[in-house]
Amino acid sequence: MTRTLAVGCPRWPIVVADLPPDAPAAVFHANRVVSASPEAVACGVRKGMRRREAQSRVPEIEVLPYDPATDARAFEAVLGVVESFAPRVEIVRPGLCVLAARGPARYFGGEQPLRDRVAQAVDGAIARIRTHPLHIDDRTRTGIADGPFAATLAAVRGQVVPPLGSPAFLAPFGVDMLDKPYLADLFRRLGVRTLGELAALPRHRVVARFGIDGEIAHRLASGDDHRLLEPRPMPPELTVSRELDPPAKRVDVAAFAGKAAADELAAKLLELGLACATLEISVETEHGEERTRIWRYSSAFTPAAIAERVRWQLEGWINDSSRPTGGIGWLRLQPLDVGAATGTKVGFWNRRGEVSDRVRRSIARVQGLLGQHGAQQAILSGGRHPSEQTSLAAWGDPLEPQRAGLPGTKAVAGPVEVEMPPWPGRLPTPSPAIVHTDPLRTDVVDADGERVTVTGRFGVSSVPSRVRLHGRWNDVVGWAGPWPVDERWWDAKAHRRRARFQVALADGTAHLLTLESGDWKVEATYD
Amino acid sequence: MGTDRVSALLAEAPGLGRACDLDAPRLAVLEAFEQLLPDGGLRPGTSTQVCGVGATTLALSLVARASQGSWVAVVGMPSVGLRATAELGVDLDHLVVIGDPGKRWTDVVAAVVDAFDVVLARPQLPGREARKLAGRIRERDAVFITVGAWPDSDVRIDGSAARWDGIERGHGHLAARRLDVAVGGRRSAARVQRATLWLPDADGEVRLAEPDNVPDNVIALR
Repeated sequence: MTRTLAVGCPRWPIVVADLPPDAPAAVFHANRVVSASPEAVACGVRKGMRRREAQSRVPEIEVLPYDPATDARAFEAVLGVVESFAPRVEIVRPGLCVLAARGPARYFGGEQPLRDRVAQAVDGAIARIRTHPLHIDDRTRTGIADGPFAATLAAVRGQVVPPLGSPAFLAPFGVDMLDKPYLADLFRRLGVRTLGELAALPRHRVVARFGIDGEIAHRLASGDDHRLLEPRPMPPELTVSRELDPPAKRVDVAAFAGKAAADELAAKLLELGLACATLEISVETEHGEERTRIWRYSSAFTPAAIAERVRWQLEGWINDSSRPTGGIGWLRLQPLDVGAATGTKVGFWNRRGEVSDRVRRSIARVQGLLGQHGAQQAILSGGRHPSEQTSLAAWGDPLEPQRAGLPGTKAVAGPVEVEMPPWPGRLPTPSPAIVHTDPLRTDVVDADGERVTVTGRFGVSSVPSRVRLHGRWNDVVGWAGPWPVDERWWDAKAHRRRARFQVALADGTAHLLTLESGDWKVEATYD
Repeated sequence: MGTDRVSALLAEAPGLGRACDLDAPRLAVLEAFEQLLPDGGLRPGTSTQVCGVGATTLALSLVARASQGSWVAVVGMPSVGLRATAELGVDLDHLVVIGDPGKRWTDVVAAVVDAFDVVLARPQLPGREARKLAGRIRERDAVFITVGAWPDSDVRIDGSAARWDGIERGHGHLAARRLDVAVGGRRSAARVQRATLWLPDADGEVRLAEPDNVPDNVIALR
């Protein structure tokens, strides 16, 4: 078992934004909090919270866009420092990397001194890219354990797990720590709640039932994740090399070539029935400068995920102090581990087999311009709220409903067939053609101009007569409601109590309104 | 001289290309639109603007039939209701959503009209730049549909006077809608066609409505 050092920068997207340490700020993606500053967290802002809710808790909160490319670019500074301790640093995501600890620990006089030295050096590197001091909670965390996953959790707690201690250290953590919500949900329903319980199951059984994601989850849970997949002799033809002629002078051009190389690698893997979760990406300029990075992924790499990492690596290099002097002339992708693609999910992207090369190239071009999430595909999913009833995934990533789906239907999750929950209380059809990403504020009054409210037992205080939209009052010609939505009453944090109304207005428009804690909002429009 | 060469030459001469492809394939539309649209379908290389009340639903139902086999890109409409899109018959397996192209709107549209059969977009451009792009769309064989005004559009569709059924004062729910639709434009579309559409009816279908005649399948909740 390999001793592994994990280096984690908490709240990396916030750290990159370079705000004063006490500023309330949060990074949002698709209207939800991805990361929040210590000050915002202290005021009750949580990961996954909607933007409106975060803003109602902290009105002066700084809203930052989610931009993984910027985060990856800034992380180059950290990687440069970590690499000075030992080569072959593996990047898990911008903000987190792992490396073998044995060699440098011997050199620096033990694992504890190594931990402290790395943390100090990385804090120094971060201080150089920031103008403001770092919040004390955002200081770099380091941890050492057997295997990268255990080391990462050890870093969160700032400790060194003794050799052979990883399984015992991991056992009490919940299955949510795997960061695979869909699988964690299934595990919980099967009564497997902790990593220890998962690790206690025979691996071949887990693989047989949940496929490749199950294998990765089992390896993580048992601390046996030096490689996420069964290491096996690497077929030499699996390396994809590409010469760029003429050399690419712009990142988007090089990233476009990266996308093509990623597709080629994915096709090769698929043909051999293999999947890969650790990948080495090398790029070289026309002048012979080279940069190699090792990327780990939380499951089998998809073409989109590979292409995204090629792009991050290129952008990071170009903005680095040791930036290349010429165009990118050559790039190489080499899998470092491969496993048999046992599950049904691998090759799932091939579902759209009839995609023409023309369409594929055009989407690659769009993703080159906007990033992987610029072009997405949708799939129907379960849920009560109109925005919950579909899931989006970057083109090239496997599509999976976020919440189990439609009433009466059955879905296949791995080899398991699951009966779908009915989602009582969802809206009647037709569904609204516009679901506002940021619900609009509005007001509803009765014939006397008094604001309409809802009683504790979901009765209306008076008859809605006019609705204010875009600053103008509109007469109500038809209305229905209130429809109570009392979700997750068992969970104090996620509990939401709302009343919904449909209104048809005199100008022919119709809307879905919600009333929550006294505020009227237009949630969706039947345009 | 091969046929390809001939059509390439014709395409370069403004006006001529149009005249030669009268029998060019059209993308199929729902029956309700067949009589309304000037060509009985969506003609590749043309742009159509959809405005007024119900524009989003009109535009989505316009591409529903075409999406069963052709690729559709939706650009710059991050709040489009995807559940409604599926209900209107659009095949999500053939749909690519480019929600927020930001400042790269022109580049993104230019990239997708090269490859997609149908492009649905919300215009985000000053008029002059839009005209430049309109030329490119005409050269390609994409059907370009905008929700909102677009300069030089070949076909213009306007929705007005929406009447909702199924919702009363305090009960029922939005179940069906009738919408007056006017289709006009240039050349073959110069004469304005008017009709009332169920968009959708109580069964979720889009079809022509008899003016002011409530069909049996709508339950009056009185």
